[in-house]
Amino acid sequence: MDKMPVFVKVEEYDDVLNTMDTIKNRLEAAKATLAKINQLKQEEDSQLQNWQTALSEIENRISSVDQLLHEPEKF
Amino acid sequence: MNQKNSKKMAKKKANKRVVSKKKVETPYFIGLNDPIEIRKNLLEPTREVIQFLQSYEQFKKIKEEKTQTILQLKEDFRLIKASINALRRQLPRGKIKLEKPSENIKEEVQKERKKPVKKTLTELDALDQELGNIEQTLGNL
Repeated sequence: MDKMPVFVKVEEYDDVLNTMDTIKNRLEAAKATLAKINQLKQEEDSQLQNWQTALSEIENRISSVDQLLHEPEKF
Repeated sequence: MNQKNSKKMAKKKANKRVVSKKKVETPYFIGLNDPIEIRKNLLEPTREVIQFLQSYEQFKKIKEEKTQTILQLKEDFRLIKASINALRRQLPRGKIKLEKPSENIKEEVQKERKKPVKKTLTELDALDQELGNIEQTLGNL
């Protein structure tokens, strides 16, 4: 059963090859689209990381101000 | 006229009393160490927040672009599927189904009749059905 040969008519063979080319081209296009999604995801991740850093920085500075407010100058 | 004047005088006196009370209250101040550092530590976060708001707009654009690209990928896959189906149609169909005994076929028919028929198929249901058909075909190969 699995070794049965497949015969294609000569006049349809070109169509089959053309369809194969189309599939290959569309696969390449899908690969490019996926790569773009990946790149955009990396940009998003990078932006989130930046926000994380900025938030930590703000927290540190506010904490520093808080500390200074609780330690008034002594005369 | 006299009444008006007397009212004005009374108001002025009242105001003077308020002012004199305010003058009596002595304000107290607390000296803060390193005021420049405090100002700096308050300005820097403000700058960071403004930068965040700017980058948020950029992030929103990236997100929108990503959504569009995902839709594009869906379209790409749809086209690939259409091309593969076209190829399948172009290739000859072999008799790949094995002949089954008649009893088994009857049982299968009865089982299929018992299954509830869905009236409305969503896109996901249609894909499930298609996947089932393909797996069945592959199983028969």
